[in-house]
Amino acid sequence: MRLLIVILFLIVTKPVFSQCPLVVTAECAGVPMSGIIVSASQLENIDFTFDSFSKIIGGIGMSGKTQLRVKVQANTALCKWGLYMTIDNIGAVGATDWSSNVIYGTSGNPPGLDLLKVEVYNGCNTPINNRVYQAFVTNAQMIPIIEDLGAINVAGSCVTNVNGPGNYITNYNEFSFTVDYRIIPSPSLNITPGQYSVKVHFCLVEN
Amino acid sequence: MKKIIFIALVAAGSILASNSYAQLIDEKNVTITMDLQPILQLNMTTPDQIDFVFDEIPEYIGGITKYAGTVLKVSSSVSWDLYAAASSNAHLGGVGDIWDQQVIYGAGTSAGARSDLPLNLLEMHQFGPNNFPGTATNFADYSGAFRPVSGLGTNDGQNNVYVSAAGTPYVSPPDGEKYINGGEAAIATALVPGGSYLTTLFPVGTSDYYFVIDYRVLPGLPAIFPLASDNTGAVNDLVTSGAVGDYAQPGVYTMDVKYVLIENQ
Repeated sequence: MRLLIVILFLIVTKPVFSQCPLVVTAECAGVPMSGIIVSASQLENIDFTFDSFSKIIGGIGMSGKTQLRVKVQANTALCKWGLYMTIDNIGAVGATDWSSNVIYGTSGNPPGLDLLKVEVYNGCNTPINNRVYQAFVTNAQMIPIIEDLGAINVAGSCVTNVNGPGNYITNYNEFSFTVDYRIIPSPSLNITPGQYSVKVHFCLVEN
Repeated sequence: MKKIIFIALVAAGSILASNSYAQLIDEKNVTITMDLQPILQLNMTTPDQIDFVFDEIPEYIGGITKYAGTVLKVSSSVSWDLYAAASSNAHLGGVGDIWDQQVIYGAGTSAGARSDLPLNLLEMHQFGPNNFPGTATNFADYSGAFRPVSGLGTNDGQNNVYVSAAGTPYVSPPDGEKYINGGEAAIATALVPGGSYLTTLFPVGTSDYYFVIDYRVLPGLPAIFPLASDNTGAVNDLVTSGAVGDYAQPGVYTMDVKYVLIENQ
């Protein structure tokens, strides 16, 4: 009984960030001293509408649809942070498929998550895959933008993977990130027509 | 001892929990929706009307062929089938599978003069074969060359246009009838995958998305349309369907050929 109480206590008091990596240290300050700032308008749905054949074969690109601004305040000199993106297919049956809202026919295959291509970049090219379109393959897959490579690259160095304390106000080119999206549903993929959804999560965590 | 363990666990839990709230972790989400609408696009290059004017005896005997009368170009994001169906007001009205007679030359009272010309006297030839046919043993498309005038009895029905039995051109041909590309939906392999003539660069005549259609009308002399036939090879020229001595009444006749591009589901 007591053990059960302990377990329940731990569960209740544990913050839940299911899509983000687990944080076990506190060298950096938490929210609101640190965090991601995104304007409300950029958190609205990003809609890709394929209503002509040229869009089907040529694809649609959404440039700069999401802009992330990061601020990280240190508690100690060991503070370093990471930025990740993960995908959530909102309970789709297949782990590699989009969630379907409605389908317009029965022929074809459900679209794969890898249909969505995402590229992230900023003025100092700090993302480890700067300006490279990347794809998610399976649900909950995590793609790092800034990750823990051991060293702390301090703000102002304008190198790859800047992960020391700082903020977008004083070091805009290192602490702001522009995200582009692209989908090319080639007819050869034989995708079932319909409306589909996924969520992309951006996580700022201490490394 | 148990109390000590219990107190230690509670203390550890409290420490962990309180530290978690102080740690740096933040998350923002965007939802992406993708609306994939089925695109079926048939581009057709053709005159508004294709006229066959028979005013010379050699034209009755040899027929008139309109080469490249229609060019069909397909773009589709889904699997599809394409077929041609003959139609007319008489056909739609249930009068019969015959051309519409617009004008009669003469009194129209001659013995044996017939105005009920069968729709399937029209012959077609497609450049670019049906690479996704059904299972039927009859002709699966119009890719066979026009038969010579003296060809009756060999490959009867090879080029004759499909006429739906239901009186509407919008009923897909059953297995055993001609499609320009693809076949009856029930046949799993008889469908053309999505694609476009814009992106599939095959040698001329082998693309699955680009077809050139020729037309021929051969009245014969007397004008009984000897090559009129259905896809099974059953000849229905005016004598076979009527009596010896019958012939086509002079006049102006019209009919439609509808090209129907449909999703194969």
